[in-house]
Amino acid sequence: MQHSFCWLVLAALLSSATSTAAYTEELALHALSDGSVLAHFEFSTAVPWQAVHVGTFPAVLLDVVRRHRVQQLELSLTQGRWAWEQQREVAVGPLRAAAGPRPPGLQLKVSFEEGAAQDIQAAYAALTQALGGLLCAGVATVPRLAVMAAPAVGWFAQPQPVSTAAAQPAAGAASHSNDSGSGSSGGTGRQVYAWLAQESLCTENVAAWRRLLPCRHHAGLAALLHPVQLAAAPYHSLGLYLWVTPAAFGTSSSKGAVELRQVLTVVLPVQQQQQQQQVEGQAGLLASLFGSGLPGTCPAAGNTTVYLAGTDSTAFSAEANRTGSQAGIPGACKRLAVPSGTLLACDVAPLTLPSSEPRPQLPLSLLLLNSSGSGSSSGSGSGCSSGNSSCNGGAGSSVSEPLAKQWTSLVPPKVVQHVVQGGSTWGTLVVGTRVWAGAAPAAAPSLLHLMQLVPWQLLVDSSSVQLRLNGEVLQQHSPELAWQLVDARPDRTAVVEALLRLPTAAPVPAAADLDAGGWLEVQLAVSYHTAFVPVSDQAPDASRGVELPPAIATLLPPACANVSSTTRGSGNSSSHGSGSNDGGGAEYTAAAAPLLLRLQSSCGAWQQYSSSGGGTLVPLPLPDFSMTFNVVCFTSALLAVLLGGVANLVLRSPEEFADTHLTGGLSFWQKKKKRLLLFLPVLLVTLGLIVYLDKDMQRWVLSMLHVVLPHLRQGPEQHGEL
Amino acid sequence: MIRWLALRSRIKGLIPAIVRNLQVCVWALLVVAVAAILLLPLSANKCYLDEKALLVGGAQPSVSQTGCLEVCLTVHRQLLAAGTPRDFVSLVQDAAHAAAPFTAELGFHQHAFSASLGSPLARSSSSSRSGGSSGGNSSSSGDPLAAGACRTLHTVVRSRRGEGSEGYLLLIPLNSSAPAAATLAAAAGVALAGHLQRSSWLAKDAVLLFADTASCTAEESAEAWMLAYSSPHNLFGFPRAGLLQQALVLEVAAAAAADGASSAELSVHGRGGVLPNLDLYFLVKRTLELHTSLPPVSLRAATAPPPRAARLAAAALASLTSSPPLRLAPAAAAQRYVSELLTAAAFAGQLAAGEATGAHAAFLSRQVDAATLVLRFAAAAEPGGGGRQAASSSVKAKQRAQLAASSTLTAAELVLRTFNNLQERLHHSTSLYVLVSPARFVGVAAYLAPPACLLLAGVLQLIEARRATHAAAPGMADPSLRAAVWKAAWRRVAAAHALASAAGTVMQWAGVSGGARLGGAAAALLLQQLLWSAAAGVAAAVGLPAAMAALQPDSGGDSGGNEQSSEGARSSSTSSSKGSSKGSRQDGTGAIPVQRCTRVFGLAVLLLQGTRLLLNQWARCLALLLWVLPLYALWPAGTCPAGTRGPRLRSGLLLLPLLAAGALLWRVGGTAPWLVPLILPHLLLFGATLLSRA
Repeated sequence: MQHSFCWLVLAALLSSATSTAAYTEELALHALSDGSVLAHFEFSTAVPWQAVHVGTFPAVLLDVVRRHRVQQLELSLTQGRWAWEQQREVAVGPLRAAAGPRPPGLQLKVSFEEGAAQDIQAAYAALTQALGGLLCAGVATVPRLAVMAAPAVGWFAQPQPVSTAAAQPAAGAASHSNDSGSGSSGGTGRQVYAWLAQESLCTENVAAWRRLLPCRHHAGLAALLHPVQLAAAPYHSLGLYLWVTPAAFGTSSSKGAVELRQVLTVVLPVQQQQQQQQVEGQAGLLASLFGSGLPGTCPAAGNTTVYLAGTDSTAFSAEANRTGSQAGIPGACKRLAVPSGTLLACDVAPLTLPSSEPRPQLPLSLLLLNSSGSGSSSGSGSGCSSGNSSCNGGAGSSVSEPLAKQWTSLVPPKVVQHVVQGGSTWGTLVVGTRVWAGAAPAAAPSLLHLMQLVPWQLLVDSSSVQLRLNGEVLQQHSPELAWQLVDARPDRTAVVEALLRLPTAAPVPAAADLDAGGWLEVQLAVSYHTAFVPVSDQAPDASRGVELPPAIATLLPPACANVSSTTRGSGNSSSHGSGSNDGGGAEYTAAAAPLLLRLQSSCGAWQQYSSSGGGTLVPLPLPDFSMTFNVVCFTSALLAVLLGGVANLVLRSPEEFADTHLTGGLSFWQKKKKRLLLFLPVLLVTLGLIVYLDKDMQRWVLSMLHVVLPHLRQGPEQHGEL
Repeated sequence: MIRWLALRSRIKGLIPAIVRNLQVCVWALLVVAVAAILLLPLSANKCYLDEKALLVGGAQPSVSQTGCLEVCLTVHRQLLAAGTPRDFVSLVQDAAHAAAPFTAELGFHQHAFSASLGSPLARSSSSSRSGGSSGGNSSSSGDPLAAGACRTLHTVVRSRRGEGSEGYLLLIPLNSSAPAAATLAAAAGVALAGHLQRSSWLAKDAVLLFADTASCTAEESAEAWMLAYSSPHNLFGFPRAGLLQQALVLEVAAAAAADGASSAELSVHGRGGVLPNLDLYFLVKRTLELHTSLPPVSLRAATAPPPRAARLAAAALASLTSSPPLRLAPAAAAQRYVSELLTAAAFAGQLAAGEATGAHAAFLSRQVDAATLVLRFAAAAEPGGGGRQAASSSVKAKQRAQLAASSTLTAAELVLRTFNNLQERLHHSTSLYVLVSPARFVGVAAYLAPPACLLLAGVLQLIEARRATHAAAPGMADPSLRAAVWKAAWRRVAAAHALASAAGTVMQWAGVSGGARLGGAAAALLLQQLLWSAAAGVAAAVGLPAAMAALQPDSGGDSGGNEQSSEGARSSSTSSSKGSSKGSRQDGTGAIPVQRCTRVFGLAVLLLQGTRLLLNQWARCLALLLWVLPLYALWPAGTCPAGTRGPRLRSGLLLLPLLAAGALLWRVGGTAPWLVPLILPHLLLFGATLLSRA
């Protein structure tokens, strides 16, 4: 009896340890006014840091995180761009906190644990290798090809609220804003930002990304994703967001859990939507949008939910009730209130139960109805208070009234990037940011963080950085300028960061025309001139020009200081869920619906990229050395002209030209020696020039010196290193 | 091996013979250079596409399938039926209104400017949104324009899947004083915009720009628009498409021929002799040949008849080569050779003149590959004016309109689609070419042979002069005299470089600013360059020790400087040079250490600044200069004894190409000022040497 009791206790302990990884699948849909549909997939899971059995968490990813002591990681692969007008439509709807725009190409943000590794560069290289293998993407080329920097703070979502994180450098801004460009790296170097424009999102990346899910593509919402359909979309972006949460007070370990969110955002094109409308009678909502219905929910998922953006609460609930009764899905959908509107949350598990009868379907009319009112959805967040019995918002009903009002006038900031070419070798980079004045209420100023990375091929003049607010130049001690940092070193990616306190302005009516005015305009200008780029350091497509990363503007409304949430879509909104966690993780459970929680509690922060994500090209005055013919021509011509002709002319006297026999009685070898001695300084000057101009040659020389002189610590660094 | 040694010994034996007969070699090279110029057409190649990614001919026109052609014809008919003369803005807006269901949400941005090119253009802008499904309710936020001002209207068609970092441009000039052509062009432009909106292949943003050419030329409009596009102002109101990579100027005009036959004409010359990549020229030409029924493309540079003397000379040359005594070629081949020679001369003459032949010059000067395509149709002729054919039957008029619209839209669509296919800038082919006919060109390797012969002749002439100098002055073997000669030569080199650097700086200033106010950083940079030039000039004129002494006011540096300056002028004297150096050193010893440190420190800073400047901007040039500079030291011009005579005629002949090169450099300097400090010193020194010989 005692023996069996011990076995029971042991079994209970094991089961508690293995069932700690909670897994949810969520899908948010928003029909846009041009007929396209925004679909945002989110797959969330978590595992205790010290767990032995990882459950639904990808074991290989957890191993990478543990080995390299990663604190936070964001990776996105994006194809196409998401138009600002479409973003605005989503922003005024209930799904505004669901997905944010991402720049085309590969974007990687990593934050390592403090004191984790002696050599951050080595850990970073190993991490990118592992991520490249996981996603079948060229992440491994990031340390060599990407635009990389270790910016200070602000742009990267911090474990603590962003506004708090931004306030820390604001306090110390006066101390180090004066020595901008002096060579200090600014940040601690533990966090790395990288952007690689050439790495586009391909179908094999989607396949590899789906392999990280517990049910892969066999069941669950991931079964809706068809690579061909994604490839035809004007914008689609997949991402991995991972972070380590701190442990609860009193626990033995400093780390609580590792949370992972796999997201995929796609704007389904107009034509496809129109075609699917024709089969509206036969297929349901999911089949109409994605071509096939849901084969079944993922057994590992504790929650599989579809959110539909809804605005007009009365018509919305009526349509939901009508279609629900017609389709036979009673109780599957609930109307929820979030700060910026109303949405319909449908649990798809009942729709996929095996039965002999035809499965009920979510009707397409639910989504199409919402699209009619989504453009003017602001201000309907109070629909939940109408007493409708289907209003089962829970946390949604607890949204404070001032916060809800604040959403009504929030429009995503607009960021543009423009290069003014002064000549073939210099120019000015201008970043303009427009913030809707309604986003800066009279109570407290909003914070706007701007960051612009400049590749090492463009040398930034740190003294030329100029900030303007509504046309007025901001001086160093202007009250609106919290802090400013310029890290401009040769052979390094330059970082220009600024944190501004937007002035409080009179509230702008919600119905004000966006084209008519009411914008706060911030302009950042910085001059550059092109560096001398050796042949070996040029990109394979050097004739395309240098890709300038998009500027990043992060808007932090005052509410972010009180709400435990960070920038939207940054992967770190505090989806801690309702459960508490400890180091052992025995009692840890993730949120039932992390996306829903984020929709309900987000503070309205927004991270925006210039020109909807795309960077800018800067042409370099380069000859095309990539072509073999040109290389041969240049090399042979230089050798023939310089070594042959000029050296001969310089080293031979006119007497020798006139008659080679009248050379003062010197012997043959003496003449040779004399010429060699004359040639030696020319050769030395040439070699010195070559070594000065050629970075690869410098590396080679230093590596040889390292062999001869072992006390030399290391060779020269690569271009664009951290 | 034995054969190689024998060949080597033969070559070595030839060198003394060549050196002994340098004058003969110089004349032979001059003859070869002239002959090479005349034989240039024989070395011409057929044009070809070097960039395979353009995929010319890989796509079929789709303007008929999408309804673009039908919309264009409908808009054209509606605009013609309205009849009332329109101004520029209303013409474009009416066209967009008529094409509203096809071109949804076509927002045009209006840009206005004054017509004074060459001075800062006063600009003002307003936006208007035309078209749209609502029927095209055009609204302008007020017309800020005075009478006679110039305007442009442009819109950006965004690619749905592109990144937005680059784009290309289509410029359509509209002259409201020629309403038939303007109507056709406006209808085609608006329909093409709608077509691009519906195209799934659009990977870059496309800019459609209409320019009002009633008050300004198309080039002025393009220039003003590019100024606004590249300015840091109006970031949100002025629609942009990232880095513009290519541009096409599409002009629609009335048929020039009496029978109303359609024609196509291409022009490529930019300002200062700048040409677009040859691939761009040929892709436009090839697209027209493959997909339109237009006759072969002609060159605008060769349309003007050559001078009478040139025509007579060409006819004589043709008859000479095909006549019985010589009979070098058949008559047809001789005629073709002469025609190509005339075309090449016209093309090269246009290059040398540096004058643009179209609105594409504004884009070329900003490193955007561009060309102008002029399409002439009978449908674009004015009914009342010389177009008898336009007043014929309505069936014929419809057919002509169909032909014109189809050709215009097809050409524009496929050229833009090839632009769309490019991931990099056009760089496989060359921008250094001379077209001898619309289908054949002479590459840089061929047309550099005559100047190379001339330069080689100049070098040989210098060697000959050097030999003559040594023969007349055996005292040059004295080491002290040689050292003095070297010093004098280095001073002249430094002086020439200082002068050239200053000239380059001034030209750069003028070229960069374009008359506008410079920014602080640019002004500081240019000021640094000027200071460096001045410092180098002072050091060259008075010598380095005297320049240092001049920095110390109480040490008699002025007198020393003057003395040095005067002695620097007569730098052939060895003793005076030595004495001045000693004198300056003696002056320097009396200085107190603080002053000396200040002096040395100031000079070091100046030198470091100059070196940094040189290494940053002209690193490649410096590498070349290090090799070339010793050349001049070998032939110091100031040491030429009075008894040495150089043949005036030969020196004068050799000076001519140098002067021509200098003139060309002056033209090129406007677009590439950095070339001036690189090349001008060599020209100055060569010229000075030759003049001293004469």
